[in-house]
Amino acid sequence: MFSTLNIGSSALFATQRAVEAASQNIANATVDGYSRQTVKIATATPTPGSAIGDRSDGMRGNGVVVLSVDRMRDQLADSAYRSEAAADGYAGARATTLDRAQGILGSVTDGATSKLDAFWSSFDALSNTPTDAAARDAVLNAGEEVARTLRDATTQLDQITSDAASEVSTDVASINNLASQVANLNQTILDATASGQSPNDLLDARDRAIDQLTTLAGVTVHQDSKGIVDVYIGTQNLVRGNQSFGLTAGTTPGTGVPTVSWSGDGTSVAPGGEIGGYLAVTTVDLPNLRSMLDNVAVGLRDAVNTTQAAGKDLSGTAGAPFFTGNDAATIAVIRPPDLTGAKIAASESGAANDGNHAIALADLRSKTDAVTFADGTKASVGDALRAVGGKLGALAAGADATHSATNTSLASADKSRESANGVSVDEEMVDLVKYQHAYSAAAKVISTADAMLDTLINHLGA
Amino acid sequence: MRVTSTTTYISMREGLTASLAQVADTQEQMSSGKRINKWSDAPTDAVTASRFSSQEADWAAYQHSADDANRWLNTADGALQSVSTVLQRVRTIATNGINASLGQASRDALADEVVSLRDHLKDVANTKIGDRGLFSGFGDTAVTQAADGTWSYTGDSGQVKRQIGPSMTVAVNLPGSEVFGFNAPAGQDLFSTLDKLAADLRSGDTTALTADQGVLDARTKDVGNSLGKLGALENRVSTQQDLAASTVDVIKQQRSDLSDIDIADATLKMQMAQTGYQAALAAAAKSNLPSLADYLS
Repeated sequence: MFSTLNIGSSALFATQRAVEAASQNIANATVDGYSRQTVKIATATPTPGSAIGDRSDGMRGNGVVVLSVDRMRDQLADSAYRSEAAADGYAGARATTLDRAQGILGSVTDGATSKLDAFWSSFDALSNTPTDAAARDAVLNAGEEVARTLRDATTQLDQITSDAASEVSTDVASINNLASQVANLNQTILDATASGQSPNDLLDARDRAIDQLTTLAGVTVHQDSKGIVDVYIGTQNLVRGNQSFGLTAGTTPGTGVPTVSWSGDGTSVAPGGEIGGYLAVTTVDLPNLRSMLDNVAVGLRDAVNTTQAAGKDLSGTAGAPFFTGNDAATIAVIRPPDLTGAKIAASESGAANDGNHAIALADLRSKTDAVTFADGTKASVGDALRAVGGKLGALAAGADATHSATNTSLASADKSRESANGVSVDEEMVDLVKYQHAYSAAAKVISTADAMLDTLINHLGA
Repeated sequence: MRVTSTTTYISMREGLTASLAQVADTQEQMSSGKRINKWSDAPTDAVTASRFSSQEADWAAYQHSADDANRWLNTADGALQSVSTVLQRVRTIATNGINASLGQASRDALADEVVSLRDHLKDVANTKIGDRGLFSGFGDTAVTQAADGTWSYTGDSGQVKRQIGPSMTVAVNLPGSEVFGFNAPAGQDLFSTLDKLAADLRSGDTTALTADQGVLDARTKDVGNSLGKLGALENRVSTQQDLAASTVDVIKQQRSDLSDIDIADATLKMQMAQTGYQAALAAAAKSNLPSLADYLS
């Protein structure tokens, strides 16, 4: 008779636990990275029946036990999500940086190239009125505009690089923080598992931290049989068991290009994810663009200075150099008294009224070998500037296309992971109804046993 | 696939973001009127569009120079037409002077007229355009008379050039030495000839007058040749101006085809994007379906 009470109470306990899990699931239905928890209920081990004469009355049921509270988690969905997250972090960093970078030349038709057009046209105007001081000043101003546009472009590239460097340094701080979280959680989880608990919410917290690490640095993970997770960047451990290894962010002196190294031994790190994207843009794409701009600046300087030297200025002496500076960051029109309006070599013969050499200067616009790029290709100054724009555009468009592709894959990986791990409120409601009924029935069992005991104790033999 | 609360929200968010991005894109194109705003909008087309706009700027400069070339050539043409008219009158005077029946008093009057015409021609030869001598090359004054009465060309042989097309220049001046006969043997330039004509009229030397008339004819021919050259140059410049105008039109058209939006097409696209966005909004509103919880009491 008492065993019926026991069976009833085991059912009460098991159904309560199941209702509790369903409520926890409903409460966390919208929490990012929460995995649905299910209560695994099984029949309790029966006890052998007592002998009645030469027959046994069979095995006696002992009710129900809660075996475990499991976390619904699909490792495959996790690793699919994480590889997309790393790719998306990388592509996102590149896309935003390059989108900013394409602003350095201004708009397509009114930007840097139109400044250059104005410069060449100012020589045409000068050739028509070689003795006009205003026309000579116009050439100086238009030249300075071109030089300033090139200088501004490099200043903006520097700014973009330094902004990327500060993003990297913020990211590295987050990575270090997350890595030590993972290491601590590894220890706590190990302790909990050793004492036979299922630390589901801690496992979720660790997975969330690893998700973030993947987005930031494209880490890979390895889980051992005890449930300890090791985290790697490349082949090196970021987390090993309960130990984490810090990263240090820095910048290359002079260029300001961000760097990331292991705090322990100072060796460099080649991470993926968001910081990988920033490092790629700042160490490859932006320096390439910058060296193209430098080629343009040097080509412009040499073409104009050489042609200047071949002509005669207002006083009949050979033309003075026009541009100074060795790259796009330093190019400038030479200041008076070394270069004044009167020192522009508009004259071929030396006569003040002769504006024919200004035509040669204006014709530099179609000098197709003025600029030599690093790969040996040659172009006119205008086309070279356009090549920089085209390169910027192609890089930004490519990065943007990649980013929207990774974004889509990430969303779908997220969805299929949520589909495997997430909470469906309807399912929980069904469980609630199911266990509510089971609970009522178990209560009924207890009250029936109670009535039976009452009959036995109080009403027998009265 | 198992549907959970979060998967519904992910789909909702995805749909809304994507269709709103499209609306923003079409709106940017509509409001700027340009298909290509940034270099990344269509990198190859952007490079071509930029090249077209540089060519437009170049041609604008060439057109400006061609207009200036025209000003020079027209002014020179006008000046030489007036020289030509004067020389016809001088020829009539010389013919009259040779007539033996003419009295010396009349010859003196003719000589005075020749001298005043010569002064007029000198002014014409030193015509300025702006602050520049029209017939003096790079110099300032084309023709000067020394204190001893001799005439000389004080300009130089500088060619004033104008760039009127890509790598195409045209000289817009004729040096006075060529126009006014300073390349002929000494004393046979236009002004010395007129001086000699006046002197011979005063002395009544008809033989010398006949010789003067010969030299005068040669100078008239020089001016005629110069007018012919100017006419040819004017033709060339105006042909180039026509070419420039049509080239600029073509480039503008091409650039517009490449970088401007087709309003009808863009309006349609924006409409479609907006419809898509509204559909996504409606779907989002409807996907917030009631759950089982709503039906349990």
